[in-house]
Amino acid sequence: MGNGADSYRRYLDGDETAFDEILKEYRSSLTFFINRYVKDINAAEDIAIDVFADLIVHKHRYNFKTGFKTYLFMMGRSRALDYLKHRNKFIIMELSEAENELVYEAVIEEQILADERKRIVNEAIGKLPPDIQVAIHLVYFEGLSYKEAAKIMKKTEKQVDNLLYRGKSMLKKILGKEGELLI
Amino acid sequence: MMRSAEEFSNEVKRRGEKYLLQRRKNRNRLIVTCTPVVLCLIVGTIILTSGYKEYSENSDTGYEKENYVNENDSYITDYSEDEIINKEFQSETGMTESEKSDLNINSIQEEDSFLTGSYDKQEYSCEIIRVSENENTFHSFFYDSEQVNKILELMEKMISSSTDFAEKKLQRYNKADDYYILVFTQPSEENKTYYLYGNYLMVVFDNSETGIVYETEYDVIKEFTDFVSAFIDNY
Repeated sequence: MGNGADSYRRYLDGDETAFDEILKEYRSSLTFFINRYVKDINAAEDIAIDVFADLIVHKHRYNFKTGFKTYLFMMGRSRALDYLKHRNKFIIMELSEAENELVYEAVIEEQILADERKRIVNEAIGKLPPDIQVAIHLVYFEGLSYKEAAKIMKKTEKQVDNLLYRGKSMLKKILGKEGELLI
Repeated sequence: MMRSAEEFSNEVKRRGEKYLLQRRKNRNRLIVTCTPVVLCLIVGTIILTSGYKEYSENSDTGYEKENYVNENDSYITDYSEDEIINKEFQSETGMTESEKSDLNINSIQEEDSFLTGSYDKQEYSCEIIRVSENENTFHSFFYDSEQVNKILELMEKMISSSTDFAEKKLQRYNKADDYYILVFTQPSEENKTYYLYGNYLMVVFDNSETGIVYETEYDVIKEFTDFVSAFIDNY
């Protein structure tokens, strides 16, 4: 159990500031992860807000047995898939709005991918199949274990392992020999 | 447009409150909607259960409540009239079915039933059945209220003179050779002491001149038997 679980327990005990700690710690990573699915940073942020709001509404849903981050990301994935199911195929937006979105995405990326190597990998994995993208994201960017990643993706550890193996092979092709060293 | 950390936090809390409120509203709506349904279901279940309970209590013997037969009841609705007579006869005389068939009583009763007479129209009815080992069986109906009154009067005397009338009668019945069986019906008067089975009275008496049925009240018995014998002879 990480700090997130401790903060959430304190929040449930009546400490309101503990919730702000959760937001501060997980806001960017959750939004970035959701964006991996929805490819729309505003929508990803909106979904992330809903995920955090869910912590307020369903206070006793989290059992403190799984990792708090895993729990948040599971909810994030579920809501992201739900969003994809119901959203319009084509989103019409103002050019300025689109520009803003790109800026916002870059800011989030900057927050998450402080490491230059990770940024290079992030660009490369954008070209991979969605499942492989998510598996690499969870294991290499979020530092989750295979088991936690498997739980979030609702797959077995073996499947996650296979996805990562295939991902590595593909990245090698995309990034050349350097790619192998990056991950 | 990217939100600041504070905006993000406020938005999360605002939505959290909104969803909580929505959830409470939905729960209340659910309660308001479901409560009458649940109540109806509970009431319905209670009614059905009590109905079933009553039915199962009544159907212990395989009969509905209306047809329930209590062995102690004198008025047995599920029995035919002939069966009622047989049952009463057996209970009164203590005779078995085979003994009764020896006396040809079954054939007598099958011949006609006094109940099928003018039961509703007449104030009194009386059936006299003569049972003899030597003679053919015989039965008759009294519809003359004067004659029946006379018989009733005599019977009353006879019964009041002996407290253990039924017992003596049974004893005599088993020993005697020749009998008359009287079955009275007097629906309008239920307080007569000799109405042994509700509306029915079955009296068995010895018709032989030599046999003394009731030593203490011989004259009364004789008067009665004479009257009945005379009536039967003249019928």
